[in-house]
Amino acid sequence: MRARRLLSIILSLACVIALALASRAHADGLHDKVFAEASEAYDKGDFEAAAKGFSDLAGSGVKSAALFYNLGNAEMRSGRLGHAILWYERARRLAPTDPDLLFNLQYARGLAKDESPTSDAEALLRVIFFPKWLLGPSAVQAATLMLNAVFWLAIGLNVFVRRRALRTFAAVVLFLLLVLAPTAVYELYEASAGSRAVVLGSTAEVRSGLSEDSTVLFTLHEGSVVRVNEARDGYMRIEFTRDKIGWIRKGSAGLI
Amino acid sequence: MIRRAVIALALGLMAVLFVCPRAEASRAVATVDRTGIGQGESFNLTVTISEGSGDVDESPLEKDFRIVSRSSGTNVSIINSKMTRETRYTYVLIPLKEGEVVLPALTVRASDGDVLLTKPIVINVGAGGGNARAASSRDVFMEASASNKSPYAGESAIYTLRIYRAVEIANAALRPLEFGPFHAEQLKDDKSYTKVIDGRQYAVIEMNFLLTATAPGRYVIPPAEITCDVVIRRGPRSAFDGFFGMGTQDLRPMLLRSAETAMDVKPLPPYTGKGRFSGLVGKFGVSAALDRQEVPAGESATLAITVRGTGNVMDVALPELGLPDTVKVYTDSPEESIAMSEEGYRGHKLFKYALVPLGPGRIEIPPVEIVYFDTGSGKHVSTSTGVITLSATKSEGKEEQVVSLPEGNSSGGAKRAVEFQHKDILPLKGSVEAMGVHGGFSALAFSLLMIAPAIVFCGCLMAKRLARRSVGIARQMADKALSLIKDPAMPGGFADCHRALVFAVLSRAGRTGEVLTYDEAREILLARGFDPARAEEVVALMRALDAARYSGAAMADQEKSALCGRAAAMVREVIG
Repeated sequence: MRARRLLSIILSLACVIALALASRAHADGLHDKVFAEASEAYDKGDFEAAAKGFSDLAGSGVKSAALFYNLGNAEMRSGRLGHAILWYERARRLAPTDPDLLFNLQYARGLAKDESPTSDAEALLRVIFFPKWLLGPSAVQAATLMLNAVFWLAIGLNVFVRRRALRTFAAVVLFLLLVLAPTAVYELYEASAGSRAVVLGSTAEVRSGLSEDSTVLFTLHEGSVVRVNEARDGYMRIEFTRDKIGWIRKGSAGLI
Repeated sequence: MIRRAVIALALGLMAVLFVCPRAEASRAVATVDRTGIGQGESFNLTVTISEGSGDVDESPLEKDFRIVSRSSGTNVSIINSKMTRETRYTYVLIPLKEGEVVLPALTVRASDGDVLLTKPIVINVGAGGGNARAASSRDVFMEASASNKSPYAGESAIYTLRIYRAVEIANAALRPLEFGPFHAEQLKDDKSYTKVIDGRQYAVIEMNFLLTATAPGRYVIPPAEITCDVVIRRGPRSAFDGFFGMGTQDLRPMLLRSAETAMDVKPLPPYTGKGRFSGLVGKFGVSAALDRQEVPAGESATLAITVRGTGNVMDVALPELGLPDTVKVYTDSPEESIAMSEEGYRGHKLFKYALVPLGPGRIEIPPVEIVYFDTGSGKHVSTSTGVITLSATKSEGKEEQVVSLPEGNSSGGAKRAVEFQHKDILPLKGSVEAMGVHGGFSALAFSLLMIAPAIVFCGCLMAKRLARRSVGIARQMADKALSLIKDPAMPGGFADCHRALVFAVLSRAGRTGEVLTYDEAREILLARGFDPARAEEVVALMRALDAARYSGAAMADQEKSALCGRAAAMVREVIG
């Protein structure tokens, strides 16, 4: 009796898992189809259709560096520089070392009218969180979790089997963990804070306040990347350089 | 009495309602400072709410007007003990189209709850409208034009912005100009001059921009905009002001817009001639000169090739000479002198080659040909230098030298850095997973997975300590049991024997205690793998000891010793 009950529970679980896997496979199949159709439209020169196809796929929740890269290309061909840079930047978050992506992003940035400022703070962040620019965020997370598990396993074993080699190994693992873990945490913070944005329209007037009557302090052009500090009442407080700060309308820029 | 009081109260209320002056109802009136304006000019709209304040619904204005600025003010006056209050909302508007533009009725929600409506007003915009003002009646206006509205791709055109003013202006600010895909550079030295239009003198500021179209297509350069304040001077208000020569002045804000400029950039016709099209667009000429016509073999002569012209001079590339292998060629960095003018870029580029003949003989330098697109004729034109001859003589005082080129360097030219000729994006990725699969955990999942190994580690540590603790308790109880049976004389008698047996069983259980029932003792021993027969013997011994203690029956010393001896042996057996 008990065995029958156990068997029926196991079978039900198996069915649920199989259904989930099947629907996942079905969804993946549909995604591939839409991706292929959009790529075909791009190859035929219908860049607007390609951009729409890739955009719909991204909007459905697919998170893929290749998808974002292709969408950036379609936006470039369609003449929307700001959108192109936005999608290239989103792809770079996932695949920071892809050479094609870096080439296209650099080309797109070269077309932007505003000179990109160099920031000391960003240079410092690049040094502290250097794994971010070598590995994608999922690779950093996976490596951090693995090192963490190995570290605790090593010191756990050391409690029962006291060996000097084990302690040395645990120390090395801890060092690597301390290098990777801050980067993993910083990437999670960045992903939730959404701290950078790209100007999308041909121009964006940066004002002193949260209304169209406020003084225009300076103007940014399509493709400029800004840091977003705050958002309220349909406006975002942005920082282009340390001395160029102001408010722009939310629709003027897209969050990376 | 009550009846009289009620009547008096009713009469009083009626007096308040009908005799006392009633509060005036709010009114809203819309007025403009002028009804005829030129294209791109602004005007002031004032909405006056009398006897109160309110909120003006501006949304009907957005269809045909652009609201440049808003301001408001309140005016309270007391005349003959009567207080009046007036609130004014002033807007600077610029119409978005020409002709008769209707300023619609605006809804005003007054503070007293009334909903008021202003009357619509017709504004005539542009030179063709009914009451529109002629150009000469405008105080300030702006014009934009292009010298060539249909240039070829690569050809330059001049975009001219002229600002005309017949009155004094202040705080003028030109919004940054947007030229779209055109490469734009402002020509230096803005021009200033005066011009008379229909009998009215205007001061003119002219700005010129050199635009170069990079790709064919239709492009619209958006209107230029200038914000400024027109200074309106009034006479001195008092003799006091007049004495010091002071008057007053008002500033009227204005927003001027030029018309948009449409440009149709034509593609270059395909080149079907001989030779190679250089990519130059404009008008060019090429010349060549040698610094000496005769040079000993092994020594160098300098060939200077100059490409001069109007157009994209900066794009002139290094001409190929096509010399035989018997001449070594070394190139230098080109020199260029290019300036912007109203005809476009003008200047020249000079290329110098050091030619080193490897042996004596007559060297003919082939003509250098440049094929460019002449925008004047709309055709591709070829221009070239003539043939230049260089004589290489024998080296004086030296044996005839045969200079051979190093292996692998048949061209004999200096190496050049590889540079981009054109730039474009790289193609699409082939699949969604082409750049890797990107899962990633959320912040919560990541935190939990980081903490989990630590929790497992702490759990294992606690389990180890608990195990050690239970071993310690078992040892304690065993020591207590053994201490009670240490003295063979068993001075404690049956009580000690019983307690020792109880401690021994509890030590097997790994717990503390003083008493045990027979069933508990049996369960503990059986759970610890004790033989059931032996467990029953232990329980029977415990019963015997209890019986000996509490029965009160007399027992011989021998019997007592034997019982205690059995108990001690059983204790040792249980402890193990």
